[in-house]
Amino acid sequence: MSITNKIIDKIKREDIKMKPKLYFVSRFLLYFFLGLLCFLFSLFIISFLFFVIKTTGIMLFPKIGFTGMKILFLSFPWIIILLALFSFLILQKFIKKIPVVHKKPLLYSLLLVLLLLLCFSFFMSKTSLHPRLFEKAKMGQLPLMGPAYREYGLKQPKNSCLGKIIEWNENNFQIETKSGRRIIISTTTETRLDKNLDLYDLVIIIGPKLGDEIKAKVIHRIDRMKQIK
Amino acid sequence: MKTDEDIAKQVQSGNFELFSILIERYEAKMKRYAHKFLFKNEEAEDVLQDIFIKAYKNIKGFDTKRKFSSWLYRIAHNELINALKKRKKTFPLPDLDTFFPFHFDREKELNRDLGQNVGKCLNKLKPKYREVIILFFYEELSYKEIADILEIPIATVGIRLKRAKETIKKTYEHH
Repeated sequence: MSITNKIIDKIKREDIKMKPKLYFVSRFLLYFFLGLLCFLFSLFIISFLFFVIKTTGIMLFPKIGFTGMKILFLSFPWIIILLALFSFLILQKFIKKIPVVHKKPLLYSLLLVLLLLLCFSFFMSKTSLHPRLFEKAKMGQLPLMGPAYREYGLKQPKNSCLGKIIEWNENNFQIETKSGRRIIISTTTETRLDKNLDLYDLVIIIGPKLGDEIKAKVIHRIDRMKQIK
Repeated sequence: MKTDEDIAKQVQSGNFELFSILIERYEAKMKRYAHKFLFKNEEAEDVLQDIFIKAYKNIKGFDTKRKFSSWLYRIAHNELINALKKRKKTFPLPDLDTFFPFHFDREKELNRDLGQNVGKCLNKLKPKYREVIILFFYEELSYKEIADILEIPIATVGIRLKRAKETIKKTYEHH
């Protein structure tokens, strides 16, 4: 029996049936919406990463040298980076399904999408979206992402802290972090500190942390009279 | 004579018996493609049937403004790759040939001087190189058609052909 007859027989017996047009249309729509969802998720995660970096001020730590770089490395939100990479990997699966993508090397399409994601995320991080969600998270009114905002937004690197001097006494002073947390900094004669520290200076404190107090070993001024914004 | 696309359109609207014309038109081509790609005759026969069954099932997803042959070859490509995957379970690695841009001078590479030696060395080639050789030398498809079927850039077709020919040359010289 020829292959033609075999197949036509199967069709006649209804062993094989054509998939309806609706199947192809709904499959296209499904891919489209899943791809869009993946893009929006990547956008949210990357802009959240920008927000965390800005809020914690960890990019300022390398200014104090090797110790600062070490602190930056140890306190960098690697999990968010991994999550962003993972969402981008899934996104590229959808990108590959776009017919025109095959006409050029995949690298071009991926770079283009990455560039778009970074630009949009950067602008998104400039909006009030994340600060508002952060405030909601602090009040416990944000489901799902609430713990992530509290964990990363309020987090300060271990045994170090970045903040603005808001109160000044003889042996101690108070700083306020970007997240609004107030921390008492106590100094001793062994504390190494920059000269002419003043109110509203932006400082990095290194020393053992106990609750809301740090026994400062080193105090570095990052910027004078600058708001952490 | 009706074009493949016209017939496909009629099959889409329910005239399924016309599908036999499409099978007859492409049976030999698909058979050659499957045999050259898989080397195992029995397996190739099974895949051949699967190709046409899949084509029939999915025919309503075929855009009749496009070329039917490229669409059918795409289905064949997927079925053949699946058959290879079943044979040996391998972890899919990203294909760097399609990832990075390559410059490829097509004019220099269009020569068919290796044509006679190709058949003897096909089994020495990796599937991705073997496939372009089959489509180019045996099926006599253009670079653009091969690129459409394999969903890769045209320059990548050229690069794969070049690498395949180099391997064939080396193998032939070695023997």
